[in-house]
This record gives sequence, C-alpha cells and structure tokens, in this order.
Amino acid sequence: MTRTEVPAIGEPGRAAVELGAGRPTRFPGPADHELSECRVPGASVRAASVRGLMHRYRDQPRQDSFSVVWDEPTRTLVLAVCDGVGQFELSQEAAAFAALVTPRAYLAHRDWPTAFTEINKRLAEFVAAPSGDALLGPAPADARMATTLAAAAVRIGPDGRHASVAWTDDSSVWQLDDGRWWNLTPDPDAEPDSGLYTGRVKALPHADPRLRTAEHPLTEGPLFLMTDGVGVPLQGSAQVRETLAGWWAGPPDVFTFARQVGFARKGHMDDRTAIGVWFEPESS
Amino acid sequence: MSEQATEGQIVMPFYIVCDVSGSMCGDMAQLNAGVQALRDEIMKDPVADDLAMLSIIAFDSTARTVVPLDTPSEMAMQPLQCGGATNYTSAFQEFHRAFTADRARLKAEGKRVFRPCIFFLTDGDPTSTDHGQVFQQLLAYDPVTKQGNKAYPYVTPFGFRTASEASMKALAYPTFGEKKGRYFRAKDGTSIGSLLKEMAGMIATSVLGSTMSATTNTLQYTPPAVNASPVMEGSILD
Repeated sequence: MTRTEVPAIGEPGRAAVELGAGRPTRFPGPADHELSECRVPGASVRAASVRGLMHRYRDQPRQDSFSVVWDEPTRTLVLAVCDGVGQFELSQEAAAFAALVTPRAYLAHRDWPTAFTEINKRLAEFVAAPSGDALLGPAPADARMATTLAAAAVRIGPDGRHASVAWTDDSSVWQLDDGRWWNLTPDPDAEPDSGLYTGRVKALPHADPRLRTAEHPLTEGPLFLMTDGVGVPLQGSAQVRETLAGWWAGPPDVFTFARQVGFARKGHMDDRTAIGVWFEPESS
Repeated sequence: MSEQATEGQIVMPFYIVCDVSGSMCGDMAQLNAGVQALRDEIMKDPVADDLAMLSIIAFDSTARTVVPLDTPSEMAMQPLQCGGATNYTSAFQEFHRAFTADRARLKAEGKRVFRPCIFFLTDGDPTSTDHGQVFQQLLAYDPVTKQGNKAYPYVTPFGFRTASEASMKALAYPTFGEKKGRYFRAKDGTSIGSLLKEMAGMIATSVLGSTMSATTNTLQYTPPAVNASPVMEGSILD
C-alpha cells in the first residue's frame, strides 16, 4: 500500500509513494474525489472520479467529471465521463458542464449525433461567457477550457441489453467479458505514424468535433466508461488489464472502487474517472 | 522490477550532448560537476524522476553514449573524458543511433515514448563540414512534403567560448511549427565554470517544467526561457 493509501499495480513510482496531500486549490468547486453508487432494475452502478497526482502536485483541481442518470420509462441508463483538457486552466468547468448537460441532451433527442451537436453548441456558449463563480479572483483574460466526452445509453430491457456509445478523443468505453477487456471505442488515430506518443486531443467545444458512435449488444459482463487516466494504462498494460479484471469481476463497494480507480502506477499521474455497470443475470 | 510492472509507462527522453573536445580539457571537472548537479536536481523531484529519462552523449572527434537513457535516479553516471576535435557530425550520428535503439527498446517494453529533446553543449564551432547535411538526412523533417524523420528531436544548443551565434542558430530545431527551436550563446566575461553551472540549472529547469506539463497524458517540451539566465543570451528562430 502506498502513502496515498491506494493499491499499486506494478511499480507505483516515486510520485505515488512520496507525494502527500498538498495545499487546497484556488478553485473551491470540485472536490478531490467524487463517488456515486446506485442500483436500477437489472444493474448496479459504481462511479468514481479521483484527482490525479499531477494535479495534487501542482495544487490544481480535478478536471474530470461524470454523470449517471436513469430514465425509467425507457429503462435506459445514460452515462457520461468528461476529461477537461489539462493545458487550459478552467477545463474542470467545461468537463462539469458537459457531464451535466449530456443526459438531458440525449434523452431529448435519443440520438447521439444530434445530442452531441447540442452539447457542443451549449458548451461553446458556456465557454464564451464563463461565470467566474468557481474562482476566488477574476478570471484570467486568457483562461480557456475544453473537454473530451464519452457517453453511453444503456438499455436494460426484457429483450436484452444494448449500448449506444458516443465519444470524442481518448475517453473510452470497455466491456469486461470472461476476464477479457473489449474496447468498444477504438481510436485508429491513437498512434501517429512518427511512432511517438502525443496524447493530443481535439476536444469540445470544436467547430468540427471528432465524434464517433457505435451500437453494441451487451453480454453479461460489466460495462465501463473511463477517462484516459484509466483507459491509457488499461490499453497499454496487460498487468493493469488482468488486475482490474480481477477487481471488477463483480461490483465492489463504492469506496473500494474509488481506491482501485486511483491505483498507483509509475508515470500515470492523470485524473482518473470510471463508471462501472454490473448487470444482473437475465431471467429466463 | 519486471517489464510488466512498468508496461504502458509514459517516457519523456532527454539527451545531454556534451562537447568534450581538447579545448574543454581545462573545464572537465566543472562539466562533470554540472552534469551531476543537473541529474541530482531532476532526481530530487519524484514527478520528474517518474516521467523523464536522461542520457549523456559525449563527442570530440568521435561520439559515444557515456550514460545510456534511464530514469535519473537509476542512471549509472560515468565521468566524461576530453580530447580531440569538435565533430558535430559524429554527435548527430550517435544521437540518431542511440535514440533509434532506445525507442525500439522502450516500445518493446510497452512504454509510450514522447518526442526526444537534445540539449547540445559546445564550446566551439564545428571542425566537421558535413554536419548540416547529416542532420538533414538523419534527423530533420519537412512538414510540407512530409518527408524525413517524423520522430525529429527538439534541439536546444548552448554555445560558449568560440561557439558562434551562427553555429548555434543553425543547430536549433525545429525550424517550423508552434515550438520553433531556440538557442543560447554565452555573454562575454563569464567564467566557464559559472556558465556550465548556469547551463546545468537551465536544463534541469527545462526538464522539470516539461514533466510538470503532464496534467493529462500529454507532455509538452518546455524549453528554457530566452531570458532565463543573466549570463546566456537566448534567441528563438524566426
């Protein structure tokens, strides 16, 4: 166990072991960590967003956000994870706003491209006129904000389970089936032809957002939405895949889930957000 | 620690390329102390130590990797030895060889490698004549034609003693894009010992600043500010 009381997967790295709590940020808005759990007919949900080591080190706030909504008439879970772009000082506001408006936009249109068009437009308006309420002082003149977004509408009906997923950039959706991870949101542009890693995104709001959508019938295995703080090590490491598959074969209690989402691994210091949906066996 | 324990790790590679030609023989103690201090400064920061990797390449008539690319706290430091001419060509060739091998090794270990950065320290103009051509052939990239080395490095040269501004300007890279190269030339009247200490500090600050950019899974090279030192004149390519 590291000093930050999160489990390590592999080599934790010095930052996870040596960095303690820092000063509070100048943004009274987002808490360091945010947790949710709920149960709906046919599924249990755990969600956690954990402030990354680098944001703690730099006295900056967590810039990830998420939302979980259940629409009873259509038996649909609407889930969203957002990753504020770290190079912009106010991106936590963009991430929080996008997570907030995504469920309503989807339920209004029942179509991700239309919903994303609305989310992108509303986010552009929000970015153009930030309230400044989340700041202790006046907003810097050059303060900017942007966010990635991955969302899923998961229908849990008597005729089975189905996920409509939509995403921009590197936030992702995965299904865990019999111990194997399946990426439902593959990014063909993730590895540039230079062979070097860039991590660059084309975040929202954007005049030409890089939106992708997909439809997936679901097996009984749990479904996960995650920001790249979890998705990158999951994609890049067999050890992370195996460990998380073991931890998340069934729904942990929400506090355990949050500690697991915040696992320590050398070189991975980003904010971490994951929503897990564990399905109950279908009645025959 | 097994490869599996660090698979997926993000790595920002920095290469310190040091001129150890004959004219540097009187400065080797200060150069070695500066390199050691640079490594110690970076190593003190656990975040930088987790994200950065450093290598030391020495060149005179030939070039060799004195300290292979590694985590700062795990580097096997070796003293630099002096003697010979100032062959920039060999330095470029050795960097190209070393980074090609390092990148292949790191990728095979499942690590994610960011664009490399070279800090090029020299006290004189080159004795080589084909270094510009070799740089273009091995390391340069043309964003218009998309020809050349897509994994081109950031090159930040530091010149002192007889290293001319023109030579330093010619080394700075890239010559395009948002992060155009910048170069530094010592102001007159400063002792070599003080300059080497100053350059080590500027490089350490740059490495620390670059790793501090990792608020997401993206890292950005943060070169030394052009006015970072009272004894070095900094310029950015036009």
